[in-house]
Amino acid sequence: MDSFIPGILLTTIGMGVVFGSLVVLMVVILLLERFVGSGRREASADAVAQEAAPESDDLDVVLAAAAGYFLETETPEVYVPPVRRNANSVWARTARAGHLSQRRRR
Amino acid sequence: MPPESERPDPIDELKALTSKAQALGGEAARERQHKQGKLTARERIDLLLDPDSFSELNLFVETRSTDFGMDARRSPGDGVITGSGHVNGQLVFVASQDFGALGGSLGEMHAEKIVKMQELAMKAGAPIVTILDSGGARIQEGVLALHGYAQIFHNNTQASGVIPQISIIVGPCAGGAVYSPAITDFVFMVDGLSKMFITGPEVIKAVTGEDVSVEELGGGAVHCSTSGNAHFLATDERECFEMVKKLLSFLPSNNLDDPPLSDTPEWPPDENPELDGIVPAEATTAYDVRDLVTNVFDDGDFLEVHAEFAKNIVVGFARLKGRPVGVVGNQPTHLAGVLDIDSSDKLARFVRFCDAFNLPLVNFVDVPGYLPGTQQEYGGVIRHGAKVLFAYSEANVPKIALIVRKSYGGAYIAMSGFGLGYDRVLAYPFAEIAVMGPEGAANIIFRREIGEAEDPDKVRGEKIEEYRRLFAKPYTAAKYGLVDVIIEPRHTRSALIRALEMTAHKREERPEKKHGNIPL
Repeated sequence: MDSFIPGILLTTIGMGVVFGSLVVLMVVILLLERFVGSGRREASADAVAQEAAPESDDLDVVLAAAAGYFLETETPEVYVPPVRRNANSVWARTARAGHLSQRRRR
Repeated sequence: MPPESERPDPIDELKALTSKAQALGGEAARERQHKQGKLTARERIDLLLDPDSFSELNLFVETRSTDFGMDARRSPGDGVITGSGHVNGQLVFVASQDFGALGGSLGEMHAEKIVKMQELAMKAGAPIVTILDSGGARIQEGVLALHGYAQIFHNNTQASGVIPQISIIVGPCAGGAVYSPAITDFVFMVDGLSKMFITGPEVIKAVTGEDVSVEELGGGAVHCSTSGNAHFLATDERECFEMVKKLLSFLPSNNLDDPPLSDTPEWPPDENPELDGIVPAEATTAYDVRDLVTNVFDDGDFLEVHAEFAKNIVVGFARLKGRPVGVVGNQPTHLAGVLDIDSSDKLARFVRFCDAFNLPLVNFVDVPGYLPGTQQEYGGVIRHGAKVLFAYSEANVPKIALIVRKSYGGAYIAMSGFGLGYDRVLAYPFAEIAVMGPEGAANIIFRREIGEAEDPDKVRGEKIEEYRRLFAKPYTAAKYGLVDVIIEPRHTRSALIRALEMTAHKREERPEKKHGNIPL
């Protein structure tokens, strides 16, 4: 019982110091936001506004293409080389030969 | 009969009817498709074919059914567009199902249109491309719908090995409908759009209690990587049609014509020093066989088939001096490149396709054997492995094997064995050709000496080295004539070109028979 009351006192003082410090910290942050943060917000808003202003249509296209590429919404080009097919089709020749041989058998 | 002055002008009438029929399900259906992120049947055909090359068949065909209110729900074209056109100048026949008209469901006349297109394609010797987006059999038409499917499957089978057949799944494809794509040579799917299954999630839940989403059950990613039912996965429809065009650029129109040629590119050079550094001499170090392939073939251009399925084998199309070839390579980065059930199926099917359509085969062999284990044995790896032997033995197109590093046991026989009818077998100087790896072989041959030795590990090491000295080189096989030529990696391209030129016009007779009995 002798140490109970000093214990309670010590806990109260400790918690009081911690809460007190947190309240002070909160006030400091609020003050800093009021004096420094608002200026920065305005500045960044200006910067965004300037960046968003399109300089040309081409820039939009380039940015959209880049975004599309990274977001994988643009179709990548599939390379198909030019090819040559034999105009004298074996299929056609064989078909003709087959037709002729069928006629001969009759 | 109305007087002549009151009769509609036949030309105007034709234009009006054509316009109405071409609209299929109309503007509302078009918007519904677009809202789902899908194109309409006609937009898909436009994407596939060269501009103004499409000739449509049977535009005015309608269902004959009157049951269950079908007489009031008729749609010109009966839910499918069929016809022919050109892809990069090549004649192809096309069917494109329209989900916007009667849900793309297959009834009697819908099937008739597809069957007629298939028969025309077989007469003309031209590839078929079928674009599937259908709710399945039209229930109102009962057995006639099933009969239609049967006719389509029959024609798919008749056309197999005669003309290339390509299926593009761009919507649902369920129930019996799945078997047409399954019979065709190549199946394309679009991620997030294509669904293919025999029974849907609801039925599975009711029968087995298993919870599975549509995408997990039959999405493109699943079929391209797990089941192997599809060969190509595109990110969207546009990419899908570009991939189809690319595939067609490698293929002849039919089994009698030669594959199309292209100009020989400037790259890679016939002597390519980059090849010297790709394959590590140490047999246990992995590398990507595709690095080898892209440094050997024209322009480094390689169209991989089944890229996400059974990754321990790589198959695909490339060109060598302008001539298309089928490329096969064991993939050391995946399961050390062993052959197993899935890779055997993948390989055998690819080999048979190339053989059917006059595409020479070039193998890059680096295979430690077949995958051991009860799972494989119980799964029938013997039967599946035999398919590879059957397919290569049956093939009479030029068959060229390059032993890159190791070629052991049954896998050696399948992929590079002269006895199987290979025309040319090449090897790198560090190739190993043996019944099994040096470690396993030494343990069996010298079991007694190793067991009785005072220092078994030392003796084992010596015996492994002794075996390696004898067989871990290609010269023993070359001495028996089982390797034609040993080349430096940098000369791979020129050696393969010479081998291909030597065998390009080969003739190989086979005994007459109805067909072989491949171990399915």
